[in-house]
Amino acid sequence: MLDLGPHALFIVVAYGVTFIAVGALALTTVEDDRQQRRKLAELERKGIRRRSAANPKPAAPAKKATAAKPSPANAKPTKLSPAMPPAKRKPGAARTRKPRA
Amino acid sequence: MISLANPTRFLSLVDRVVPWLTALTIILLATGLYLALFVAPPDYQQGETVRIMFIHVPAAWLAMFGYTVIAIAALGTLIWRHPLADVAAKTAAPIGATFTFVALVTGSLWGKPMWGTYWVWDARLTSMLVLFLLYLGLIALWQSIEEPGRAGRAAAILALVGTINIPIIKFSVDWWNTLHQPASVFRAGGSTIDVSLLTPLFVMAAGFTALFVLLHLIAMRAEILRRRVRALQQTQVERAALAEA
Repeated sequence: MLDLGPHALFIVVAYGVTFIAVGALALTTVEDDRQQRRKLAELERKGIRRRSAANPKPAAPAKKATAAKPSPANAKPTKLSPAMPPAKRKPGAARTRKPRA
Repeated sequence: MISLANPTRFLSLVDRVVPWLTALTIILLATGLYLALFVAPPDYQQGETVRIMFIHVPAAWLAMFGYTVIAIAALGTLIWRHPLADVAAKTAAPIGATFTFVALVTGSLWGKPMWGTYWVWDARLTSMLVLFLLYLGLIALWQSIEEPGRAGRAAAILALVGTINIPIIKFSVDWWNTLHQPASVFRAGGSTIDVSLLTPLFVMAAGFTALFVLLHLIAMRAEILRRRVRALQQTQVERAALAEA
């Protein structure tokens, strides 16, 4: 048995409080994650999906389309619209703003 | 790094990293606890109460680390308005608050047998209490504003204002005459702690850090999913309204 000396109570309480506080934090975090996954799965089961999840499109043909049919949008590419109409962007990329260097 | 700024890619990375990080955290914490409770010798002055230091010191480091993460993320929110920066800041707050609470309580429990008191209003202890209150203020602010974007920007400003407290905590023991001892691990001239006590301290610190990162990643994933659920529920309501019209 571990001999913690005359101040054993202080040591045991310190470790106990840490275990309870960190354990409660870990449990609530993991449970929240599970709950959000369940809610998302429930909505998807009802047919309510994000646009990118509902219509996954391959992003590869973008270059070909640019070369074949130039349009005002791709004539002057910018950082935020790199020669690709917004509808043909990769899933998830449309809402993400590129951070400046 | 830029590719990880895409929430979908970030989620896929988290899914891959979490199992490995969980294993690493368990190994580090189990080893750290074994070294702290069964291997480390009693200190020549503190006796067995030195074992409280193996949780108090890493918790205090992570309390400051958590706030630094929030401050950096706040810059990301205000300058680039990136949604992941806001998510990172929001989810780091409860974790940082918990480690600050642990640092305050364990420090207090160490102080009673060593200093003869649970609490004194000296600069180090008071600035740590201010850090805890800042964390609570940030959490309350995020909870009180429903729209995540607005809440994120308001919290980012408060977080950046509160950053001034971090150097105050770090240098309080040098700037003022405090009951709390000065830095003894990271200091010019090397650590004043014997390697037999320093090893369990560093292993516990690594375990606590791994736990912080693990919980932060899981909490960020949950927050991203919460925002998706919220957006989908709004879509559901809009569709229902259109169908009725």
